[in-house]
Amino acid sequence: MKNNATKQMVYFSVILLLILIFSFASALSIGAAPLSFSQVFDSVFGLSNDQSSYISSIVWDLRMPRSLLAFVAGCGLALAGLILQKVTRNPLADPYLFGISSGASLGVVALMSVTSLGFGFYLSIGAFVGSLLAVVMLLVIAGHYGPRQVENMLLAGVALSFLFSAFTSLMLYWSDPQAVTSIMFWTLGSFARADWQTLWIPTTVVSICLVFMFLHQRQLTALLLGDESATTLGINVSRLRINMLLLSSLLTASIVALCGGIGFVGLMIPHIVRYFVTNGSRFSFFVTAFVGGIFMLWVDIGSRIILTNQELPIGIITSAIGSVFFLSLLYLRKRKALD
Amino acid sequence: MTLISTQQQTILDVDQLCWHVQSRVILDNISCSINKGSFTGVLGPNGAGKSTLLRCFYRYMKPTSGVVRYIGDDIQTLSPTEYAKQVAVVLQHTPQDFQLKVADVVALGLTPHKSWLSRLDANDHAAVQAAMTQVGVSDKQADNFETLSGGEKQRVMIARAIVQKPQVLIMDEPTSHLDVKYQIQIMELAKSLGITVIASFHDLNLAASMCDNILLLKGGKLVASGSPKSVITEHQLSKVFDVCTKVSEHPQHSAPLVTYYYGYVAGADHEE
Repeated sequence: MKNNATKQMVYFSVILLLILIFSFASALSIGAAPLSFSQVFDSVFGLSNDQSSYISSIVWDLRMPRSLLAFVAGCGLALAGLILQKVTRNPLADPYLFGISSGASLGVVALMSVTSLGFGFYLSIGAFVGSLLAVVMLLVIAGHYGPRQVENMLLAGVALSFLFSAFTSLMLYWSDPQAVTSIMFWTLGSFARADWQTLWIPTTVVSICLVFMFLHQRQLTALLLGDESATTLGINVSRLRINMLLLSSLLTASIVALCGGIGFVGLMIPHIVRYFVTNGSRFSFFVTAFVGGIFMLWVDIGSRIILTNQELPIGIITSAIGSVFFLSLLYLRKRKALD
Repeated sequence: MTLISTQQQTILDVDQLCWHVQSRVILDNISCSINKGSFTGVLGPNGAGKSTLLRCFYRYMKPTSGVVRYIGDDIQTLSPTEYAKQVAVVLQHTPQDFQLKVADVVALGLTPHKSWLSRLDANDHAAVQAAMTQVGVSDKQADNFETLSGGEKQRVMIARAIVQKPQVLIMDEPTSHLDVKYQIQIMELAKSLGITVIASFHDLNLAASMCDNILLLKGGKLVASGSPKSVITEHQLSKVFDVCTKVSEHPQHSAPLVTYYYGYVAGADHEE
């Protein structure tokens, strides 16, 4: 019985890995200057003798960091969504619902409109500080442990989210049109700012989160039975929830800081993965992260090729796909209920 | 000699337990002791404090004052995982929609026994299988928990508690909303485990036939405790539940059998 499940998991992982390799190869070859798979292969593994410098610079300087960032961001956002959905037992929880993303936006907008700094490392710091502010406020308002901790947190999160949006809009209203345009572009999300110097930040955070979640997977699964049952299994529910909340805000902050606002991924990917891998599986975190990463690779490819000579912001694509996804989910459920 | 002393050993000792929420007194100075291996029923009308008392026992709530001791140790001083290895809990409700398979839910009972990195080994899988067989849900082990009936869900939760290998099983109204067959089945299953069981009941007859010891609560106070025969009397039932009853002997095992009278005004004098 268990051997079967493990075997299934192995097949599943192999398929996932093949899809990942194919996706990466596609992400490196598709773009304004199309490269063939063999050119990409030669360049990546340094096999080509007459390596023309432009191919290697497209692959290594432009597409590789960008694709890696897309993959890591997809992993991280999917994980952040999964964490929040697990600790709140709410399938609709994602970083947006808790005000973490709007906190990051506020941080960036405040920094941009006050200091008129362009894109760069400072904005990441602004986003980071903003989202941490959101989490601290959330914990101060609703962090105290009690029978209604989850409900209080959700309500407080929604309220904070609106509060931050109001401040963001106010600052945009006062800013000069040029700043508004660049802020607008930032909030729609893009991987164009990817470079090797900053890539380590989200990569480290996502890796730490994966390890941390893997170590706590049993406790996280037990939390699904309810706070009271989890307590009787020897789990410090409040501490686990706050740790996980901090972790998901760290994930969101580090990704939003580099890529801007990318919605719906945290909400959608865990839903998709749950069709294939049950919540009880030890591998659900890894699968969720991988699927999120692969999804984001293709979104990034789409953002480069949907419009000619122009890049479509990531947030537009993910939101469009997300809304279609949820509407079809609704439709399928309705059909299923009628059958 | 040793046999007698283990039979009489106190496993849970409650000393002047109080629990207040703001100025409202929910539990008022409760003292009692629960013997190892006994089946204890907690009875009382709605709002009597049954659930709160049990929650203090399984540490979901911390007493405002007073102490609960597990074999001599204040339970607040024990580590959460240590206590979870001793005391398992089955609740009335479980949240819906968590998309876990029956076998996954049962395996969660191993949580306090497992360290961070350890995987489930062959022994663990065998224990999960044995528990599912014991409660009769092994044919459903690959099903989603949500698809089960109320009685099956409670049996799965008991299987999870069995896997936890506890000394004490606490059940908070585990049979509410179940039909009669399952009410009897769940309680007999709990009794068959041979460990100390503490359960709250609404059905007085079920409690009378299952329990060795009964705690009768009203308004947060312990009104009476002792054997079913000494606690379930017409006088106590009228005082605590405000109902008019006749208590006779059950033909099968001579435990108290409660028959209710209808059409009586609460609190009025009555004849038998």
